Amino acid sequence: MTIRHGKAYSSPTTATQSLQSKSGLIVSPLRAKKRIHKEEGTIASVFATLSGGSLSDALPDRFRDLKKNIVQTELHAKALQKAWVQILAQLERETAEVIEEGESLIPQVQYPGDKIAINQSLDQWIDNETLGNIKKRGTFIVKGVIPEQTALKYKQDIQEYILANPRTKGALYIYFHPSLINLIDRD
Amino acid sequence: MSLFHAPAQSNKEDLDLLSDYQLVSLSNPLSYCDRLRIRRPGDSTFALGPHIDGGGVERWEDDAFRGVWSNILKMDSKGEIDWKQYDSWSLGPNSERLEAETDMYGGAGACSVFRPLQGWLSMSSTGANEGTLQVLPFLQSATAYIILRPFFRHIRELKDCRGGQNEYLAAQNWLFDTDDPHFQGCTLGRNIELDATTHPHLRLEETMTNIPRVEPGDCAFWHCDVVHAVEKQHCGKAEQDSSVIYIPAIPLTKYNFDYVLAQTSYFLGGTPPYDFPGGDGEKHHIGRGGMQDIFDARGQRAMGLADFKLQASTSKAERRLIEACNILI
Repeated sequence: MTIRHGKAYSSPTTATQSLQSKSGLIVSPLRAKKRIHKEEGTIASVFATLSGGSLSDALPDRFRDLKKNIVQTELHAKALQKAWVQILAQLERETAEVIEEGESLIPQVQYPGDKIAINQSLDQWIDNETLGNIKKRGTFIVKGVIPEQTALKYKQDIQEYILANPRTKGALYIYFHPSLINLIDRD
Repeated sequence: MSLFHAPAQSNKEDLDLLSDYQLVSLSNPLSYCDRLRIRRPGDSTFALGPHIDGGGVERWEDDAFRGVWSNILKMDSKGEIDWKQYDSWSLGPNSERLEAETDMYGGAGACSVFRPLQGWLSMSSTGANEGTLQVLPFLQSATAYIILRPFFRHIRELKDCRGGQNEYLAAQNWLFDTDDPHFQGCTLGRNIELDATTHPHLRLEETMTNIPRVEPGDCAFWHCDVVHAVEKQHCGKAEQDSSVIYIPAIPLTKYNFDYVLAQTSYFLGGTPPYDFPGGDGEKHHIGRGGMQDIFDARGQRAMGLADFKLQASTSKAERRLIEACNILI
Protein backbone atom coordinates (compact mmCIF):
# COMPACT_ATOMS: atom_id res chain seq x y z
CA MET A 1 0.00 0.00 0.00
CA THR A 2 1.56 3.26 -1.02
CA ILE A 3 0.15 6.66 -1.79
CA ARG A 4 0.96 8.22 -5.09
CA HIS A 5 -0.72 11.63 -4.81
CA GLY A 6 -2.53 10.94 -8.04
CA LYS A 7 0.65 10.83 -10.11
CA ALA A 8 1.54 7.87 -12.26
CA TYR A 9 4.68 6.18 -11.08
CA SER A 10 7.16 5.00 -13.63
CA SER A 11 10.79 4.23 -13.34
CA PRO A 12 13.06 3.94 -16.34
CA THR A 13 14.71 0.81 -15.06
CA THR A 14 11.97 -1.22 -13.48
CA ALA A 15 8.62 -0.15 -14.97
CA THR A 16 8.00 -3.16 -17.12
CA GLN A 17 10.62 -5.67 -16.16
CA SER A 18 11.16 -7.46 -12.94
CA LEU A 19 14.84 -7.70 -12.18
CA GLN A 20 16.70 -10.68 -10.95
CA SER A 21 19.02 -9.30 -8.33
CA LYS A 22 22.38 -10.80 -7.50
CA SER A 23 20.99 -12.42 -4.39
CA GLY A 24 18.57 -14.33 -6.62
CA LEU A 25 15.44 -12.43 -5.69
CA ILE A 26 12.96 -11.21 -8.25
CA VAL A 27 12.46 -7.54 -7.52
CA SER A 28 9.52 -5.69 -8.98
CA PRO A 29 8.81 -1.94 -8.93
CA LEU A 30 6.48 -2.09 -5.94
CA ARG A 31 7.79 -4.61 -3.48
CA ALA A 32 4.78 -6.65 -2.41
CA LYS A 33 5.29 -6.66 1.34
CA LYS A 34 2.42 -7.95 3.41
CA ARG A 35 0.28 -5.20 4.86
CA ILE A 36 -1.54 -6.90 7.63
CA HIS A 37 -3.75 -4.51 9.52
CA LYS A 38 -2.57 -4.37 13.08
CA GLU A 39 -4.88 -4.48 16.03
CA GLU A 40 -4.66 -1.70 18.57
CA GLY A 41 -2.22 -3.11 21.05
CA THR A 42 0.11 -2.70 23.95
CA ILE A 43 3.80 -3.40 24.37
CA ALA A 44 2.91 -6.80 25.82
CA SER A 45 1.62 -8.01 22.51
CA VAL A 46 5.04 -7.40 21.01
CA PHE A 47 7.05 -9.49 23.42
CA ALA A 48 6.36 -13.22 23.82
CA THR A 49 7.46 -13.22 27.44
CA LEU A 50 5.23 -10.29 28.39
CA SER A 51 2.12 -11.86 26.90
CA GLY A 52 2.30 -15.16 28.73
CA GLY A 53 4.19 -17.08 26.09
CA SER A 54 7.42 -18.86 26.66
CA LEU A 55 10.66 -18.70 24.78
CA SER A 56 10.75 -22.47 24.53
CA ASP A 57 7.56 -22.70 22.41
CA ALA A 58 8.57 -24.71 19.36
CA LEU A 59 8.11 -23.44 15.85
CA PRO A 60 6.27 -25.47 13.21
CA ASP A 61 8.06 -28.43 11.66
CA ARG A 62 8.91 -26.56 8.51
CA PHE A 63 11.63 -24.81 10.50
CA ARG A 64 13.44 -28.11 10.81
CA ASP A 65 13.33 -28.29 7.02
CA LEU A 66 14.66 -24.75 6.87
CA LYS A 67 17.71 -25.76 8.88
CA LYS A 68 18.31 -28.80 6.70
CA ASN A 69 18.02 -26.59 3.68
CA ILE A 70 20.57 -24.13 5.00
CA VAL A 71 23.09 -26.84 5.87
CA GLN A 72 22.93 -29.64 3.34
CA THR A 73 26.33 -31.29 3.42
CA GLU A 74 28.60 -32.93 5.94
CA LEU A 75 31.36 -30.60 4.81
CA HIS A 76 29.25 -27.56 5.57
CA ALA A 77 28.30 -28.95 8.99
CA LYS A 78 31.95 -29.51 9.83
CA ALA A 79 32.87 -25.99 8.77
CA LEU A 80 30.12 -24.61 11.00
CA GLN A 81 31.29 -26.69 13.93
CA LYS A 82 34.78 -25.31 13.52
CA ALA A 83 33.45 -21.76 13.37
CA TRP A 84 31.29 -22.41 16.44
CA VAL A 85 34.31 -23.43 18.48
CA GLN A 86 36.14 -20.27 17.42
CA ILE A 87 33.12 -18.11 18.20
CA LEU A 88 32.72 -19.62 21.66
CA ALA A 89 36.37 -18.87 22.38
CA GLN A 90 35.94 -15.28 21.24
CA LEU A 91 32.81 -14.94 23.35
CA GLU A 92 34.69 -16.10 26.41
CA ARG A 93 37.17 -13.26 25.93
CA GLU A 94 34.55 -10.63 25.09
CA THR A 95 32.20 -11.47 27.93
CA ALA A 96 35.06 -11.48 30.42
CA GLU A 97 36.08 -8.02 29.24
CA VAL A 98 32.53 -6.71 29.54
CA ILE A 99 32.12 -8.13 33.03
CA GLU A 100 35.41 -6.54 34.04
CA GLU A 101 35.09 -3.12 32.41
CA GLY A 102 31.33 -2.49 32.36
CA GLU A 103 29.91 0.81 31.14
CA SER A 104 33.32 2.38 30.53
CA LEU A 105 33.42 0.35 27.31
CA ILE A 106 30.61 2.37 25.79
CA PRO A 107 32.00 5.30 23.76
CA GLN A 108 30.76 8.81 24.46
CA VAL A 109 31.26 11.76 22.16
CA GLN A 110 30.42 15.41 22.55
CA TYR A 111 27.93 16.86 20.06
CA PRO A 112 29.99 19.23 17.89
CA GLY A 113 27.18 21.71 17.26
CA ASP A 114 24.51 21.77 14.57
CA LYS A 115 26.68 23.28 11.88
CA ILE A 116 29.26 20.49 11.96
CA ALA A 117 26.77 17.72 12.64
CA ILE A 118 24.59 18.70 9.70
CA ASN A 119 27.35 19.35 7.21
CA GLN A 120 29.84 16.66 8.13
CA SER A 121 29.51 12.93 8.55
CA LEU A 122 30.35 11.30 11.87
CA ASP A 123 33.73 10.14 10.71
CA GLN A 124 34.75 13.70 10.04
CA TRP A 125 34.41 14.88 13.64
CA ILE A 126 35.12 11.68 15.55
CA ASP A 127 38.68 10.37 15.86
CA ASN A 128 39.60 6.99 14.37
CA GLU A 129 40.02 5.18 17.66
CA THR A 130 36.62 6.26 18.95
CA LEU A 131 35.06 5.42 15.63
CA GLY A 132 36.61 1.95 15.82
CA ASN A 133 35.15 1.52 19.29
CA ILE A 134 31.72 2.65 18.14
CA LYS A 135 31.79 0.06 15.37
CA LYS A 136 32.97 -2.69 17.69
CA ARG A 137 30.60 -1.89 20.55
CA GLY A 138 27.63 -0.97 18.39
CA THR A 139 26.42 1.55 20.98
CA PHE A 140 27.39 5.12 21.74
CA ILE A 141 26.25 8.25 23.54
CA VAL A 142 26.27 11.73 22.07
CA LYS A 143 26.39 14.33 24.84
CA GLY A 144 24.64 17.65 24.57
CA VAL A 145 22.69 17.25 21.32
CA ILE A 146 20.21 19.82 22.50
CA PRO A 147 20.54 22.13 25.49
CA GLU A 148 19.42 20.63 28.77
CA GLN A 149 16.75 23.29 29.28
CA THR A 150 15.27 22.64 25.86
CA ALA A 151 14.98 18.91 26.56
CA LEU A 152 13.30 19.64 29.86
CA LYS A 153 10.90 21.97 28.07
CA TYR A 154 10.01 19.16 25.63
CA LYS A 155 9.16 16.95 28.56
CA GLN A 156 7.03 19.66 30.08
CA ASP A 157 5.22 20.24 26.75
CA ILE A 158 4.50 16.54 26.49
CA GLN A 159 3.24 16.25 30.04
CA GLU A 160 0.91 19.21 29.49
CA TYR A 161 -0.28 17.59 26.28
CA ILE A 162 -1.06 14.35 28.09
CA LEU A 163 -2.98 16.25 30.76
CA ALA A 164 -4.99 18.07 28.09
CA ASN A 165 -5.84 14.79 26.40
CA PRO A 166 -6.75 12.32 29.16
CA ARG A 167 -8.00 9.59 26.82
CA THR A 168 -4.43 8.84 25.80
CA LYS A 169 -3.37 5.33 26.83
CA GLY A 170 -0.14 6.16 28.57
CA ALA A 171 2.90 7.83 27.07
CA LEU A 172 3.43 5.21 24.41
CA TYR A 173 0.81 6.37 21.99
CA ILE A 174 1.59 9.97 21.28
CA TYR A 175 3.01 10.15 17.80
CA PHE A 176 2.72 13.61 16.44
CA HIS A 177 3.30 16.06 19.21
CA PRO A 178 4.93 19.26 17.95
CA SER A 179 8.16 18.71 19.88
CA LEU A 180 8.66 15.34 18.16
CA ILE A 181 8.33 17.01 14.80
CA ASN A 182 10.88 19.65 15.75
CA LEU A 183 13.33 16.84 16.41
CA ILE A 184 13.22 15.59 12.83
CA ASP A 185 16.07 17.85 11.89
CA ARG A 186 18.45 16.28 14.38
CA ASP A 187 20.03 13.32 12.71
CA MET B 1 24.04 6.62 9.58
CA SER B 2 27.26 7.33 7.74
CA LEU B 3 28.71 4.58 9.93
CA PHE B 4 27.12 2.20 7.49
CA HIS B 5 28.28 1.52 3.95
CA ALA B 6 26.64 -0.02 0.90
CA PRO B 7 29.20 -2.03 -1.06
CA ALA B 8 26.68 -2.94 -3.74
CA GLN B 9 26.27 0.59 -4.97
CA SER B 10 29.86 1.71 -4.83
CA ASN B 11 30.71 -0.51 -7.77
CA LYS B 12 29.56 1.55 -10.74
CA GLU B 13 29.37 -1.22 -13.34
CA ASP B 14 26.90 -3.22 -11.34
CA LEU B 15 24.57 -0.30 -10.70
CA ASP B 16 22.29 -1.13 -13.62
CA LEU B 17 21.69 -4.54 -12.13
CA LEU B 18 20.21 -3.03 -9.01
CA SER B 19 16.57 -2.09 -8.81
CA ASP B 20 15.53 1.16 -7.19
CA TYR B 21 14.61 -0.89 -4.13
CA GLN B 22 18.21 -1.86 -3.57
CA LEU B 23 19.53 1.67 -3.36
CA VAL B 24 20.15 3.72 -0.27
CA SER B 25 21.17 7.24 0.55
CA LEU B 26 22.60 7.30 4.02
CA SER B 27 23.04 11.04 4.04
CA ASN B 28 19.43 11.89 3.35
CA PRO B 29 17.45 11.11 6.44
CA LEU B 30 13.73 10.47 6.44
CA SER B 31 11.64 10.78 9.53
CA TYR B 32 9.92 7.75 10.93
CA CYS B 33 7.41 8.72 13.55
CA ASP B 34 8.25 6.70 16.61
CA ARG B 35 7.24 6.82 20.22
CA LEU B 36 8.40 8.21 23.48
CA ARG B 37 8.73 6.61 26.89
CA ILE B 38 8.17 8.17 30.29
CA ARG B 39 8.90 5.80 33.10
CA ARG B 40 8.19 6.63 36.74
CA PRO B 41 10.13 5.19 39.71
CA GLY B 42 8.75 1.86 40.87
CA ASP B 43 7.38 1.18 37.42
CA SER B 44 8.55 -2.28 36.46
CA THR B 45 5.85 -2.96 33.88
CA PHE B 46 7.97 -1.33 31.27
CA ALA B 47 11.04 -3.51 31.88
CA LEU B 48 12.02 -5.24 28.70
CA GLY B 49 14.34 -8.23 28.75
CA PRO B 50 17.26 -8.58 26.33
CA HIS B 51 16.09 -8.59 22.74
CA ILE B 52 16.92 -7.49 19.22
CA ASP B 53 14.44 -5.55 17.10
CA GLY B 54 13.95 -5.66 13.35
CA GLY B 55 13.04 -9.27 12.76
CA GLY B 56 12.97 -12.57 14.67
CA VAL B 57 12.93 -15.84 12.81
CA GLU B 58 12.92 -13.82 9.58
CA ARG B 59 16.69 -13.55 10.00
CA TRP B 60 16.94 -17.13 8.81
CA GLU B 61 13.69 -17.68 7.01
CA ASP B 62 13.77 -14.74 4.58
CA ASP B 63 16.24 -15.32 1.74
CA ALA B 64 17.49 -11.75 1.59
CA PHE B 65 17.79 -11.41 5.35
CA ARG B 66 19.68 -14.70 5.53
CA GLY B 67 22.00 -13.32 2.86
CA VAL B 68 23.14 -10.62 5.30
CA TRP B 69 24.86 -13.36 7.34
CA SER B 70 26.60 -15.06 4.40
CA ASN B 71 30.02 -14.76 6.02
CA ILE B 72 28.68 -16.59 9.06
CA LEU B 73 26.50 -19.23 7.43
CA LYS B 74 28.20 -19.99 4.13
CA MET B 75 31.51 -21.57 3.31
CA ASP B 76 34.07 -19.49 1.46
CA SER B 77 36.11 -20.74 -1.49
CA LYS B 78 38.37 -22.65 0.89
CA GLY B 79 35.46 -24.54 2.43
CA GLU B 80 35.77 -22.59 5.68
CA ILE B 81 33.42 -20.26 7.52
CA ASP B 82 35.32 -16.97 7.67
CA TRP B 83 32.98 -15.33 10.19
CA LYS B 84 35.54 -12.67 11.11
CA GLN B 85 34.88 -11.14 7.71
CA TYR B 86 31.36 -10.37 8.77
CA ASP B 87 30.85 -6.61 8.91
CA SER B 88 27.84 -5.45 10.93
CA TRP B 89 28.06 -2.02 9.30
CA SER B 90 27.80 -3.28 5.74
CA LEU B 91 24.39 -3.33 4.14
CA GLY B 92 25.42 -6.58 2.50
CA PRO B 93 27.35 -7.37 -0.70
CA ASN B 94 24.05 -7.12 -2.60
CA SER B 95 22.37 -4.65 -0.26
CA GLU B 96 20.56 -7.53 1.40
CA ARG B 97 19.63 -5.34 4.39
CA LEU B 98 17.46 -3.20 2.15
CA GLU B 99 15.54 -6.13 0.73
CA ALA B 100 15.28 -8.14 3.90
CA GLU B 101 11.74 -8.92 4.95
CA THR B 102 11.83 -8.32 8.69
CA ASP B 103 8.17 -8.92 9.41
CA MET B 104 6.74 -12.00 7.74
CA TYR B 105 4.00 -12.60 10.27
CA GLY B 106 2.41 -9.20 10.84
CA GLY B 107 3.83 -8.72 14.32
CA ALA B 108 2.17 -5.98 16.39
CA GLY B 109 5.42 -4.22 17.18
CA ALA B 110 7.32 -4.93 14.00
CA CYS B 111 8.90 -2.14 12.05
CA SER B 112 8.53 -2.35 8.28
CA VAL B 113 11.20 0.20 7.50
CA PHE B 114 14.89 -0.52 7.63
CA ARG B 115 16.35 1.21 10.68
CA PRO B 116 20.09 0.70 10.76
CA LEU B 117 20.44 2.62 13.98
CA GLN B 118 18.00 2.98 16.86
CA GLY B 119 18.27 5.88 19.21
CA TRP B 120 16.61 8.16 21.65
CA LEU B 121 16.95 11.62 23.11
CA SER B 122 16.93 11.78 26.89
CA MET B 123 14.68 14.27 28.65
CA SER B 124 15.87 13.27 32.09
CA SER B 125 19.00 12.54 34.07
CA THR B 126 19.15 8.76 34.18
CA GLY B 127 21.79 6.32 35.37
CA ALA B 128 22.09 2.84 36.79
CA ASN B 129 19.11 1.44 38.72
CA GLU B 130 16.94 4.21 37.39
CA GLY B 131 15.32 2.38 34.50
CA THR B 132 18.00 3.02 31.93
CA LEU B 133 19.00 1.28 28.72
CA GLN B 134 21.21 -1.79 28.93
CA VAL B 135 23.19 -3.25 26.04
CA LEU B 136 25.46 -6.13 25.19
CA PRO B 137 28.40 -3.97 24.13
CA PHE B 138 29.98 -5.96 21.31
CA LEU B 139 28.66 -6.88 17.89
CA GLN B 140 30.60 -9.27 15.68
CA SER B 141 30.97 -12.41 17.77
CA ALA B 142 27.58 -11.87 19.42
CA THR B 143 25.87 -11.74 16.02
CA ALA B 144 27.80 -14.75 14.74
CA TYR B 145 26.80 -16.69 17.83
CA ILE B 146 23.14 -15.70 17.57
CA ILE B 147 23.01 -16.75 13.91
CA LEU B 148 24.63 -20.14 14.55
CA ARG B 149 22.92 -20.88 17.84
CA PRO B 150 19.87 -22.63 16.34
CA PHE B 151 22.20 -25.19 14.77
CA PHE B 152 23.68 -26.37 18.05
CA ARG B 153 22.30 -28.04 21.12
CA HIS B 154 23.87 -28.95 24.43
CA ILE B 155 24.61 -32.56 25.34
CA ARG B 156 24.37 -32.20 29.10
CA GLU B 157 22.02 -29.82 30.87
CA LEU B 158 23.50 -27.27 33.24
CA LYS B 159 22.10 -29.07 36.26
CA ASP B 160 23.85 -32.27 35.18
CA CYS B 161 27.24 -30.64 34.78
CA ARG B 162 29.41 -31.34 37.78
CA GLY B 163 31.82 -28.76 36.47
CA GLY B 164 29.05 -26.17 36.65
CA GLN B 165 28.70 -23.40 34.08
CA ASN B 166 32.23 -23.83 32.69
CA GLU B 167 31.52 -27.43 31.77
CA TYR B 168 28.08 -26.54 30.42
CA LEU B 169 29.41 -23.80 28.15
CA ALA B 170 32.46 -25.73 26.93
CA ALA B 171 32.50 -26.48 23.20
CA GLN B 172 32.63 -30.24 23.89
CA ASN B 173 29.19 -30.00 25.42
CA TRP B 174 27.66 -28.68 22.17
CA LEU B 175 26.66 -30.69 19.14
CA PHE B 176 25.69 -29.66 15.63
CA ASP B 177 22.01 -30.48 15.09
CA THR B 178 19.39 -29.79 12.43
CA ASP B 179 16.64 -32.03 13.77
CA ASP B 180 15.14 -29.52 16.15
CA PRO B 181 12.76 -26.89 14.74
CA HIS B 182 13.57 -24.46 17.58
CA PHE B 183 15.07 -21.12 16.76
CA GLN B 184 15.94 -20.04 20.26
CA GLY B 185 14.23 -16.87 21.34
CA CYS B 186 11.95 -16.73 18.31
CA THR B 187 8.22 -17.13 18.06
CA LEU B 188 6.29 -16.13 14.94
CA GLY B 189 5.49 -12.45 14.60
CA ARG B 190 7.80 -11.29 17.32
CA ASN B 191 11.33 -10.05 17.65
CA ILE B 192 14.06 -12.27 19.09
CA GLU B 193 14.27 -12.42 22.89
CA LEU B 194 17.37 -13.72 24.60
CA ASP B 195 18.16 -15.08 28.05
CA ALA B 196 20.45 -17.48 29.92
CA THR B 197 18.63 -20.49 28.47
CA THR B 198 18.38 -19.42 24.86
CA HIS B 199 21.85 -17.89 24.55
CA PRO B 200 23.92 -19.06 27.51
CA HIS B 201 27.33 -18.19 26.06
CA LEU B 202 26.44 -14.50 26.01
CA ARG B 203 26.20 -14.67 29.84
CA LEU B 204 23.51 -12.02 29.67
CA GLU B 205 22.83 -11.91 33.38
CA GLU B 206 26.35 -10.58 33.83
CA THR B 207 27.05 -8.84 30.53
CA MET B 208 24.00 -6.65 29.96
CA THR B 209 25.62 -3.31 30.68
CA ASN B 210 24.00 -0.05 31.68
CA ILE B 211 24.83 2.81 29.38
CA PRO B 212 26.62 5.64 31.17
CA ARG B 213 24.49 8.28 32.90
CA VAL B 214 22.67 10.55 30.45
CA GLU B 215 21.43 14.10 31.07
CA PRO B 216 18.51 15.85 29.37
CA GLY B 217 19.65 16.63 25.82
CA ASP B 218 21.98 13.63 25.47
CA CYS B 219 21.28 10.93 22.88
CA ALA B 220 21.98 7.22 22.87
CA PHE B 221 22.32 5.20 19.66
CA TRP B 222 22.67 1.52 18.99
CA HIS B 223 23.13 -0.61 15.89
CA CYS B 224 20.01 -2.54 14.89
CA ASP B 225 21.58 -5.91 15.86
CA VAL B 226 22.65 -4.89 19.35
CA VAL B 227 21.08 -6.95 22.12
CA HIS B 228 19.42 -4.40 24.38
CA ALA B 229 17.06 -4.18 27.32
CA VAL B 230 15.45 -1.69 29.62
CA GLU B 231 16.50 -2.09 33.24
CA LYS B 232 14.11 -3.99 35.47
CA GLN B 233 14.10 -1.58 38.34
CA HIS B 234 13.56 2.08 38.48
CA CYS B 235 14.66 2.81 42.02
CA GLY B 236 15.26 6.48 41.54
CA LYS B 237 13.93 9.26 43.71
CA ALA B 238 10.17 9.74 43.70
CA GLU B 239 10.13 12.89 41.57
CA GLN B 240 12.61 11.55 39.03
CA ASP B 241 11.34 9.95 35.89
CA SER B 242 13.28 8.30 33.11
CA SER B 243 12.03 9.86 29.91
CA VAL B 244 13.16 9.50 26.35
CA ILE B 245 11.95 10.31 22.86
CA TYR B 246 12.83 7.75 20.23
CA ILE B 247 14.65 9.40 17.37
CA PRO B 248 12.85 9.06 14.13
CA ALA B 249 15.53 9.22 11.44
CA ILE B 250 15.92 6.46 8.90
CA PRO B 251 18.01 6.42 5.71
CA LEU B 252 16.52 7.18 2.34
CA THR B 253 15.65 3.99 0.52
CA LYS B 254 12.90 3.50 -2.00
CA TYR B 255 10.92 1.35 0.37
CA ASN B 256 11.38 3.71 3.31
CA PHE B 257 10.34 6.58 1.10
CA ASP B 258 7.12 4.80 0.09
CA TYR B 259 6.48 4.29 3.79
CA VAL B 260 7.13 7.94 4.64
CA LEU B 261 4.71 9.14 1.96
CA ALA B 262 2.03 7.00 3.56
CA GLN B 263 3.11 8.20 7.01
CA THR B 264 2.82 11.81 5.90
CA SER B 265 -0.72 11.32 4.75
CA TYR B 266 -1.52 9.71 8.11
CA PHE B 267 0.21 12.64 9.79
CA LEU B 268 -2.10 15.04 8.09
CA GLY B 269 -5.05 12.87 9.20
CA GLY B 270 -3.78 12.14 12.74
CA THR B 271 -4.00 8.33 12.90
CA PRO B 272 -1.00 6.11 13.70
CA PRO B 273 1.19 4.97 10.79
CA TYR B 274 0.53 1.39 9.80
CA ASP B 275 3.58 0.03 11.59
CA PHE B 276 1.88 0.75 14.87
CA PRO B 277 -1.13 -0.84 16.52
CA GLY B 278 -4.29 0.65 15.03
CA GLY B 279 -7.08 2.69 16.51
CA ASP B 280 -7.93 6.35 16.29
CA GLY B 281 -4.62 7.50 17.70
CA GLU B 282 -4.44 11.22 17.95
CA LYS B 283 -7.20 12.11 15.53
CA HIS B 284 -9.12 13.95 18.20
CA HIS B 285 -6.21 15.36 20.15
CA ILE B 286 -5.78 18.99 20.95
CA GLY B 287 -2.50 20.57 19.93
CA ARG B 288 -1.61 17.82 17.49
CA GLY B 289 1.19 18.83 15.18
CA GLY B 290 0.45 19.99 11.69
CA MET B 291 2.11 21.45 8.64
CA GLN B 292 3.08 24.63 10.46
CA ASP B 293 5.36 22.62 12.76
CA ILE B 294 7.60 21.27 10.02
CA PHE B 295 9.52 24.45 9.97
CA ASP B 296 12.15 24.16 7.32
CA ALA B 297 13.17 22.46 4.11
CA ARG B 298 15.12 19.67 5.82
CA GLY B 299 12.11 18.78 7.93
CA GLN B 300 9.86 18.87 4.90
CA ARG B 301 12.20 16.63 2.89
CA ALA B 302 12.33 14.20 5.76
CA MET B 303 8.55 13.93 5.61
CA GLY B 304 8.45 13.42 1.85
CA LEU B 305 6.91 16.84 1.26
CA ALA B 306 9.73 18.46 -0.66
CA ASP B 307 12.20 17.29 -3.25
CA PHE B 308 15.51 15.87 -2.15
CA LYS B 309 18.40 17.93 -3.37
CA LEU B 310 21.17 16.59 -5.52
CA GLN B 311 24.62 17.84 -4.77
CA ALA B 312 27.84 17.66 -6.72
CA SER B 313 29.05 15.01 -4.32
CA THR B 314 25.93 12.84 -4.64
CA SER B 315 26.91 9.41 -5.89
CA LYS B 316 25.40 7.98 -9.04
CA ALA B 317 23.41 5.48 -7.03
CA GLU B 318 22.01 8.09 -4.70
CA ARG B 319 21.21 10.34 -7.63
CA ARG B 320 19.08 7.64 -9.21
CA LEU B 321 17.31 6.94 -5.95
CA ILE B 322 16.64 10.61 -5.29
CA GLU B 323 15.26 11.10 -8.78
CA ALA B 324 12.96 8.11 -8.35
CA CYS B 325 11.66 9.53 -5.10
CA ASN B 326 11.28 13.12 -6.27
CA ILE B 327 8.93 11.95 -9.02
CA LEU B 328 6.54 10.77 -6.35
CA ILE B 329 6.27 13.95 -4.33
